[in-house]
Amino acid sequence: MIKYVIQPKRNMRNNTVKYYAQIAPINATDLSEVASQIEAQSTVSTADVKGVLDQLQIVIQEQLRAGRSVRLGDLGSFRPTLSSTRSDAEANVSAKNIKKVNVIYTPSGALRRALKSALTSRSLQFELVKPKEQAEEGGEA
Amino acid sequence: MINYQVIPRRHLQSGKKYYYAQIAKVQPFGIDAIIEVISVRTTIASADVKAVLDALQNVTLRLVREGHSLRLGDLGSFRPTLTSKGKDEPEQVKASDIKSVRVRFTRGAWLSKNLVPAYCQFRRTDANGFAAASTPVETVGEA
Repeated sequence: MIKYVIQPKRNMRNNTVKYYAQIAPINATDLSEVASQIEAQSTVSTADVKGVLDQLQIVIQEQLRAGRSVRLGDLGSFRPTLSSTRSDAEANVSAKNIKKVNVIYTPSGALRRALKSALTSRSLQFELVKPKEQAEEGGEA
Repeated sequence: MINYQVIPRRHLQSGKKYYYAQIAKVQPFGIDAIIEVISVRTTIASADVKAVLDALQNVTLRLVREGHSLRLGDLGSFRPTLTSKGKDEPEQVKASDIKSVRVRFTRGAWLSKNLVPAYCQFRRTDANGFAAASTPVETVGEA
């Protein structure tokens, strides 16, 4: 069940406000729960699943810092990008211009197509969360 | 080593030309290499490593379809996002107005803290990441 809320957004050009569906705040499923679900659908032991997931994080971090993109097959890929300040002359640009190193995640074609076809075939379920209900639920992460 | 190239951009309002650092072409670290590294470090069989990564993709898709987000430890989280048509009144917005459901990744504590320029080494290269052997490695000091 994908929970959504309705939010107003202002169109800056003609100063009109329209209402859009937007995803509601979500509870995160943490790594140990993910590991259990993986274990349930494979023959790999719990310890090994956890071992792989722990190392996976480390490998992704290392490769990004080494300036490489990480291709995870059907899960998608991660690549580093930079935010830079400007300089007046080409020769003046150095690493000092680099203010941030960012990570961009791109889902794989398979993942995107699976979500798209789930949406168009109406097999996704949506539930509207009204503001009053949100207030009653309170402190969900 | 993060390779950066220098690119020009015209400032839209003043028309002046400025120069920026941008990441050069990145080398990919593919799934086979990932499986190999994980297998060697954990002594878990490659076939099992592959099985876990395949299952991870299925689990991620399933959780996202069900409206959950998936936290990959301190690395970050995968979460669903959606776009919709706009309506003039909130009551007019229906689930059928939802145009797309996508997956986004948000970086977690480790990446926010450690993937910063202060902890990286940079080298100025051409667009493809090539540079003369004498090109210096640059660091930018304390964060």
